[in-house]
Amino acid sequence: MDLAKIESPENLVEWVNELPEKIHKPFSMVLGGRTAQRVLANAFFAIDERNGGSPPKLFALRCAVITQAVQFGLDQALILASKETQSRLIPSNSAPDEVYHYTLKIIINLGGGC
Amino acid sequence: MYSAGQIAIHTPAPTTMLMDEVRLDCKDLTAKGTLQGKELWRISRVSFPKFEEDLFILGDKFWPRWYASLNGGFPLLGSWDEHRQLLYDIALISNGEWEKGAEHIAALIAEIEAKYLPTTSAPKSTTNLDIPTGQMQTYLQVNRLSLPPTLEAVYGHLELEIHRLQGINHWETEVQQERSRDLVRRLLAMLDAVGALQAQAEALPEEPTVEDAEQTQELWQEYLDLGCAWPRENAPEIVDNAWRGGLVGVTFAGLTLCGMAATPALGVAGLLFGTKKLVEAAKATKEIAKVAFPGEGGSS
Repeated sequence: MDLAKIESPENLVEWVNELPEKIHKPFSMVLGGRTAQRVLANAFFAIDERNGGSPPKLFALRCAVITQAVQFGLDQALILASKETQSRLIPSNSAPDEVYHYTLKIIINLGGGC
Repeated sequence: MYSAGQIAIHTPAPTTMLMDEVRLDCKDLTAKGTLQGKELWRISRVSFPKFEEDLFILGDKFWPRWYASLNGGFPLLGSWDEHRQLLYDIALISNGEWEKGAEHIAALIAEIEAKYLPTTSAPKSTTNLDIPTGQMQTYLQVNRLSLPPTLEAVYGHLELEIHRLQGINHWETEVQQERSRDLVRRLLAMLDAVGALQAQAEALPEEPTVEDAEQTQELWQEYLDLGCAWPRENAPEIVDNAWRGGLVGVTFAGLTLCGMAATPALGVAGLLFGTKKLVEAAKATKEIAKVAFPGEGGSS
């Protein structure tokens, strides 16, 4: 898939899925983490606007720390995250080896969440 | 909102802009295999000033520093390995702890961070400021309001010693008297440099530019070059040691507010003492840091 065709998070997931197996996981982690952090920045802003300027929610910050840890390859961060967090990040029945597949889903899930 | 030579600033980022950044990430990751050290927003800078200010309300200074690190692409601690481990530790704090609220989490994070602070004073013997421009720009934005009073403290501290030295009418030897005069001249030059830094900090816009960051870097370098040009071997005979400890403390505070990591900032600030008192300087600075930066400088 041509880079120029990446116009949405869904396209990004498609692009990553076409990567060679060897780099699939590490690239997913980094791209998922960084993109999720950008989406979160916007989500923070939305929270701020909705709440009339109240301090950012600790839960949202926790999400951000987790996505950053994911970026560095910590699958365990997702596994051990709270049930509430997990439900918004990954399906609760995911096996550890499958977690990285859901890293990119953070982009989509958190984009409208938090 | 932006002009030629500056990166665009948007709040919030539209999806098209977000995907521009994603494509650049994909391109660089494919070419280089890593994005470590890359700023989060490289094509367009997205700024959330109110959010950044609100992060301070969470009862600790960790969150603003973490956010600056995230955006600036630099490690929170001395190395990426430590940064990674710190994030792991925080991400793995149990659910029950998070549910106890922001203040409780702030205390836990401070405990975790303390594990990574140096246990011995080992300042670097370099005076080169090596703060990436983007990093300094981010720190200037976050600390725009706290930087001027900190620099005012540096200014006042220098002024104090100049007045003390100028008030001494009798020195034991002519050599000491000449050294004292020489030191006053150097201190006055440092005073000018800090005054320029202070004026620049007070005039910083809400969104400091690359030029602002570069100018700040130059002014700090000038100040430190002057400080490190002291006649170190003889300075202990002339300058009050307690005052020197204070100068290291306020200089350390100013450098960290501008984005320098704590350990190198300690090393650079400690150089103002000269080698003989370096260890004492580091100890004094750490004590001051406990007050100035609760949770950052408290380990021993």
